[in-house]
Amino acid sequence: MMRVVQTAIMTACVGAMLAHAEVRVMATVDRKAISIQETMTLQVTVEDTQNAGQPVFKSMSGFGILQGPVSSSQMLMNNGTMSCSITYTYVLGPKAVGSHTIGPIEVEVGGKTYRTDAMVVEVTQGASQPTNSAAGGGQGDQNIVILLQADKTNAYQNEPILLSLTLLYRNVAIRGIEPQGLPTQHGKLEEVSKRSGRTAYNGVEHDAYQYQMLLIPYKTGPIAIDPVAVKLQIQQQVSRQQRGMRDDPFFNDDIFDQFFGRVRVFEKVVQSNPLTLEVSPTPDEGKPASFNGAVGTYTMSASISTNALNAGEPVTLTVDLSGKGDLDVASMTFPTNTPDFRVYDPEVTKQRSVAGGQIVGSKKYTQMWVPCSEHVTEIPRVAFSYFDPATKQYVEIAHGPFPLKVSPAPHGMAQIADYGALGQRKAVIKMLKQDILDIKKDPARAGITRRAETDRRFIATLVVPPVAAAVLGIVARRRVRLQTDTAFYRRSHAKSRAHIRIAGASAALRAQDGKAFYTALADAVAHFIADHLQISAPQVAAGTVATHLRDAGVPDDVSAETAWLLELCDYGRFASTGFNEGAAAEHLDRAEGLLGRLRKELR
Amino acid sequence: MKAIVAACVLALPGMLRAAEGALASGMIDIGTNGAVAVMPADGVAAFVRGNMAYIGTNYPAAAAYYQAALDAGFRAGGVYYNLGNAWYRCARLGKAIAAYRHAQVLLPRDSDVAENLATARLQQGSDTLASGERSGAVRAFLFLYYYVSPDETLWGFCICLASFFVMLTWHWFRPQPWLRHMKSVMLVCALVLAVSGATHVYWTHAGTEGVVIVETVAVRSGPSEGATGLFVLNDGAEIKVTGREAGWIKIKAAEKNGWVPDQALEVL
Repeated sequence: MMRVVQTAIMTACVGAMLAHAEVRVMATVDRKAISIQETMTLQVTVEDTQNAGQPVFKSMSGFGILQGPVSSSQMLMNNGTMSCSITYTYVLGPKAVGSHTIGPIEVEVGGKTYRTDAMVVEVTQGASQPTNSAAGGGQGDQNIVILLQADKTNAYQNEPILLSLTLLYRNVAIRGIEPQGLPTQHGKLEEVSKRSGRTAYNGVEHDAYQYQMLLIPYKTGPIAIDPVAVKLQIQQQVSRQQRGMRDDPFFNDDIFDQFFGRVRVFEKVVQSNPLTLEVSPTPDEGKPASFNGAVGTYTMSASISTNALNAGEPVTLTVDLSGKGDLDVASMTFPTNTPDFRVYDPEVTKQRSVAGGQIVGSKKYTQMWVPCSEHVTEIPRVAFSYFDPATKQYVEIAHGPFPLKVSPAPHGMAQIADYGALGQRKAVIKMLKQDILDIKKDPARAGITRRAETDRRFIATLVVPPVAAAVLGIVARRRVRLQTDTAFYRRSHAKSRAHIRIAGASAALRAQDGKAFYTALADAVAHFIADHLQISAPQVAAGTVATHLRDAGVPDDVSAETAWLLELCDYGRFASTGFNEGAAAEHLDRAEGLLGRLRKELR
Repeated sequence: MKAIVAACVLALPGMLRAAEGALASGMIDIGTNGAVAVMPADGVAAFVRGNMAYIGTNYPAAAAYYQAALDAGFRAGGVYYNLGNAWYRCARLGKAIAAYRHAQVLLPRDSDVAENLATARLQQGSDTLASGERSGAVRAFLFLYYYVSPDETLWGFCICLASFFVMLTWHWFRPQPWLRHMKSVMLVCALVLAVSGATHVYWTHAGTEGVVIVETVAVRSGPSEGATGLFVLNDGAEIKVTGREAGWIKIKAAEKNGWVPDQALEVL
């Protein structure tokens, strides 16, 4: 807690002191005269403040910032006076020879802008000066030279130019090399090679690292390539004295430093010389119509897949282009759909490489052409033009036209579907010929059957169900009526019951049981009449039956005979005379006849 | 319900006659030069012999056998289809198309029939006036007419009617709530199928479409040889029949009307 309070009080005191200090901004360079291939260090110091904006360069023509800003701050207490400052450090590289002005440089502090004085730096062309290690105290003279060279300073538009960036160095251990700021704004840059070795420079053996690239300028006119900066990682051994250790005559020897690996690595940015190239346009005189900007030397071949086909079928046009030059620029244009052809975009495959400081490669175009009718006779001529910088002349290579024999599309031949944007066939079916399918051989599968069978089944299915339904309906209705209509039930069963009783009478007759016989006979007649007239059987007696029958509309003779039979049965049941089988049989017959007549009369 | 049942029962004789008519053979003039001396009375045997002749590339004989099978009353889609193939091989496009059209009525869902008919029509080139075929949506809506054959319609009617009577009887003896609904459903189905079948029979016998079966026929302005020739139809051209008069048929082809001799056409 006490510590926090003390820190807060100290910060407040410093802030108060600083608030009353006057800010000053200064800019310094380590060298006022350098060669085109050297760099210099610029420092912008802002005193008496801890908060300052980044420096803004109002003018810095002729120089480029290779590194920075790297900021550092400092605070000093001297005799009770606090002073502090912020320093911004830059590494600048010259772009051109001559006197160049740096600044003024503005810095904003507390809402107020402070300005430095301008500085003039002289940049000379001269031979590269030996650059000593920035760390100082290096072992022996260290030479680092960066050379930017071109195989030609005059070229045509789209003609490749071989640029070589060569790092020459001696007495210095370089662990890393990183080119920066390559001239990509002037055209397409393509790496060729990276190689290292030893070479003589100014009569002195140097280690060398060379980076080669091809520049293909797209624009015409002068091309000013700024010096190319290269960031180096330099390894330097550090002695005991440099490390602040005691200078011991025994241990202060290189072998110990080397053995114990006491080295350090630091970065250094060096610049190459600038380069000026002149790019000319290809001449207009003699320029063919098919020229698309290709510069170099090329060969071309072209062929078609077939020269005899039907209308609607495809033919493939193949064009092979190869040579030395930028094949990305060396392109061919093909026609789009014409009235005679349906043309698809070509499929392109290409190969390229860099050999002997030149771009070499090949391009293959595969394009689908589909003749629309049999009147088409040829595929038009294909041509490719290029400008040869060696002979300074245009060359046109042409093949074709390619004759075709197109036959009419056969009837029924399906049109082949769309091939797609890349000329790839999309359809998977190609009709060859139209013909009918084979006959049906199996009579069953052909649906042929014997007519009679078909008819019988059909008629049966059509007739039987309704008839059966009608019959069953009647049965069902009768069944329901029998269950619900008592009178109907009695009348329906009257005949069968009478028949059963008559049968009983016959049995009694055979058994010569007179009483049983006449009882059964009387019951048969009485119940039959009772069931039909919906009265109880006892109500049907010899004395009353005539009245009932008369009321039912039965003729008098039938009524009389019925009464007589019932009376006879009563006599036979209750009289004690013997049983006359013959008479009984006759009585049975008359009873059956009577029942038949009653059935008719009582319906 | 009683009225509907009565209507169905009354319609039975008519349906029977229609079935008889539907099952009767068509009268197609063979006109082939490959006549076979003795035609088997058995339609199946004639069909099989026709196949043997076709396989042996004796196409005129094959056509004669197939026609004999049809004349014997074995009216089947497969026979018409094979007959169409035989005529196609004999380069008689009109007869082939007519046979395929008959086959298509009896085998409405057979893809072989449809494909061969399309092939035959394609051979026609620009003369193909066929269709008047309705759109897919209409055909889907009228699927009973376009995708169910007359025989299938009649059998469907019979089965639905039989089911109705069975359910009715069942309901009399063992009443069930669901039986009442099912009876109605079966009856409605039977009615729909009856109407469809009657429509089939009507359009089949109405003779409203035809196919040219001669090499070339001039369509005239009137029913006589002296009438002005208006345009020409080639073998296989499909037309609509709009009238008849004394050996002449009035046709409509591609919105043009005219008269042609009846022997130049096969009426479908």
